[in-house]
Amino acid sequence: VSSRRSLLAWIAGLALVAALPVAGRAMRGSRDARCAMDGAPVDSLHAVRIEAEGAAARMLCSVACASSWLASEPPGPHRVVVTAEDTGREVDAASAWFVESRVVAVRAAGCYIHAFATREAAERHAEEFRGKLLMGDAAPFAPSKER
Amino acid sequence: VIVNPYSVLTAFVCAVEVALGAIAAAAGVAAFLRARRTADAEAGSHLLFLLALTVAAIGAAGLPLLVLTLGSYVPQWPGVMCIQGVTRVGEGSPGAAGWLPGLLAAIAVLRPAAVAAAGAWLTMHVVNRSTRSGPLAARVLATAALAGALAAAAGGLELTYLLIPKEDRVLADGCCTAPPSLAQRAGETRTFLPALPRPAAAGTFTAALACSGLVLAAACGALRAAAARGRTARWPIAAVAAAGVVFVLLGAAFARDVACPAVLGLPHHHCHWCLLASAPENAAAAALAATGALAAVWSAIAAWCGAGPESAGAAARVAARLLGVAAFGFAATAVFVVVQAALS
Repeated sequence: VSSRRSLLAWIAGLALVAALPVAGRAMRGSRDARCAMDGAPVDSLHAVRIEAEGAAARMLCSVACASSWLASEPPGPHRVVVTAEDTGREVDAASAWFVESRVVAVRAAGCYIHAFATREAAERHAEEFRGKLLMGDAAPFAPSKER
Repeated sequence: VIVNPYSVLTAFVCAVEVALGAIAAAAGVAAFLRARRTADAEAGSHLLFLLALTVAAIGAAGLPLLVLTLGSYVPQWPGVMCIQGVTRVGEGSPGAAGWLPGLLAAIAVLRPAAVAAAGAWLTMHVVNRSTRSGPLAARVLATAALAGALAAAAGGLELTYLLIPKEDRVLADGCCTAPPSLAQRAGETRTFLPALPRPAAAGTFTAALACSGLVLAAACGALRAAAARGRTARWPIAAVAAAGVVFVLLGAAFARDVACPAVLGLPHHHCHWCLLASAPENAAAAALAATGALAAVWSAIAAWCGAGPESAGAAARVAARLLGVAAFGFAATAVFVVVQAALS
């Protein structure tokens, strides 16, 4: 009787322990729409998506987080898609225009880099907010761009 | 000095711990010297046992209190995002603030050591109490003195940490925004993942940890059955105790390198503290692993110290009970790791 009771206590204890991660996950809810780099909520106007071959696409909250992510990943082919602030649409980073200005883009990441679909919009933002157009090696994601 | 409810409570508890620990250490040494001269070894040592028990209870509460206090410091610095950042405050600073990281590192060693010593004292005391002539009395008293001294040292260091002004000139940020030098250094401490074959490193680590937990639980179960029959295999129990300590160290590396990135959904984020803050159920897993290892160590102490003809029976019974606790701790940790990995 004693051994059966201790066996039952063991099983109940292990079941309780097994339930802990399940309960924890259920209470935390879904982690979708969170930055893969720092866990901050992803604002759709500044979202960056990184697609790598053979891996799931990752959502990042800002250009700064995306740059940190790429620096942490092993080198390999990947595609970076940014959200243009002038159109609100996704643009391939290779064809986007980036401006670093005094206006914060994503406060949680300390990011001041803004992405635009057109050069005119980028230059207008740079002029209005004392920013500078990031080109060539200074531009995020692509060391040398051909436009 | 940062004053908030947590730091005030912790400072009070540390002050009590220092006072009682120092008295217990002094009383333990005096009783030990008396025990070597007279036959009535434990005469007048009741106060010492009460003190040692109180110090053990305070010491067990000390670690969670320290974590809560460090957590309450996080909002004090804009760049610090978790306790990892708080532990780096003071790095490279001149003066007393520069001692802060070293003090925390010393506390991280002394606190578990004080708990282990207190448990060792209690284990030997229980074994000794079951005998007629108390052959382990001198060792029990010496261990009580050691436990008191360790608790006093841990409490004293923690009190010093709390009282040093946190006015560092070079603020090292939290793990999420660590400067490249610090981030690189944190990466260098990840010794296990790079050693495993990619891309299944995390999976391999998970399987290895879960399997080692189950193997340790099975070993503890087998040794418990032998001890329950009165046969304490001292060397195997010592080996299991040593393996249990290694299991805890591996578990800490697993929590940082595998569990944190997987549970938080942040592949490049390696931080124990963020895991505990964002997924508190992992504290239960850490407690289970630590309980398993400590129970195995204490069972080894019971088996080795109680090996004499008068105390062997009692030591075997105590060791059997502790091995049962250790088996559950290791098995439960393995179950937790497997279920959490399946969910992540």
